[in-house]
Amino acid sequence: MSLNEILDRPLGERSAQTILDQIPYAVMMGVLAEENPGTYEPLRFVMHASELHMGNPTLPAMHGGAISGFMELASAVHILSFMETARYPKLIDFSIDYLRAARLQTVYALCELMREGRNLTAVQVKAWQDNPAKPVAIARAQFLCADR
Amino acid sequence: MSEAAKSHKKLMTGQKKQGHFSALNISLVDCGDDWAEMSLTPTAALIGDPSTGALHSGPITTLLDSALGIAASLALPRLGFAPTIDLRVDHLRMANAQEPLIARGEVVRITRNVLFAKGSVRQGNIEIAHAVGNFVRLSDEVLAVTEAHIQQQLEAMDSGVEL
Repeated sequence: MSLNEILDRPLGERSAQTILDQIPYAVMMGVLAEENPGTYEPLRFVMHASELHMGNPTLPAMHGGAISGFMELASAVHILSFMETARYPKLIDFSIDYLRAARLQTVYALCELMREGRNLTAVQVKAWQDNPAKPVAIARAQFLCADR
Repeated sequence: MSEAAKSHKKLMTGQKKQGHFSALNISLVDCGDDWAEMSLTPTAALIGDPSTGALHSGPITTLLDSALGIAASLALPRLGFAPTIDLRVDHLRMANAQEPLIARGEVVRITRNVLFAKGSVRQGNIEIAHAVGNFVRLSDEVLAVTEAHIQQQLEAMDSGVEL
């Protein structure tokens, strides 16, 4: 099933993981969604570290761009999981603060919709590794969510 | 071009590409004392929306982070690197997944603790995105360590040793 076929379905019949599976960049990065239907657990995104996320080879850290890309994917798929928008949202701008060095290990992300508009949608994202109280990065994004 | 810029260029272009640079086909095109130009050759694996074939924003952010970050490290008084503090990217247009992207980053101002940088990405003659980013100016003590490490790598390259 194509991405648009999935997005043409009502919200209750699409899952974040089936959406991610249709986005080549998400598949390449290895971004996964942890969904807990029927619970109050929020939708959490996961990226398991591999050599392909490595930045400067002199220190085994994750490239800042890999973290940013992960958070951009998470925020877009979060929108598609909670809003009746039928097309992949267009990113207008993205701003990221790197708070701690990210090691080459699993990263998690949680998103929060700050505004759901007819056109503009604002999302905040937090990414962490061991401890959610010590984020490696926080970001905000403005998306254009036109239906067609 | 300063000795530091020459060394950075040698390090970036002479070594086998690894990690995220290799995954995204990012290379250093050219650089100077406080600027760097980097390219990204797209593949189908970097598409964000398969219904339009548009490139995802993530690789564009990564390319800008790299170009601004390398420009920042070139502006340092010693060989080293400058971790990103923050980055803001405006996506002016969609990028296609066929033509290469070229990013240019340059340092606007250096203070005792911070390097301020800006840059943009083009695809052909069309500007796709622009960015501002700030980078950490590490202390001279830390940079002395990174410089020694980079010197070692350069010497290893000269003697043909695989690190």
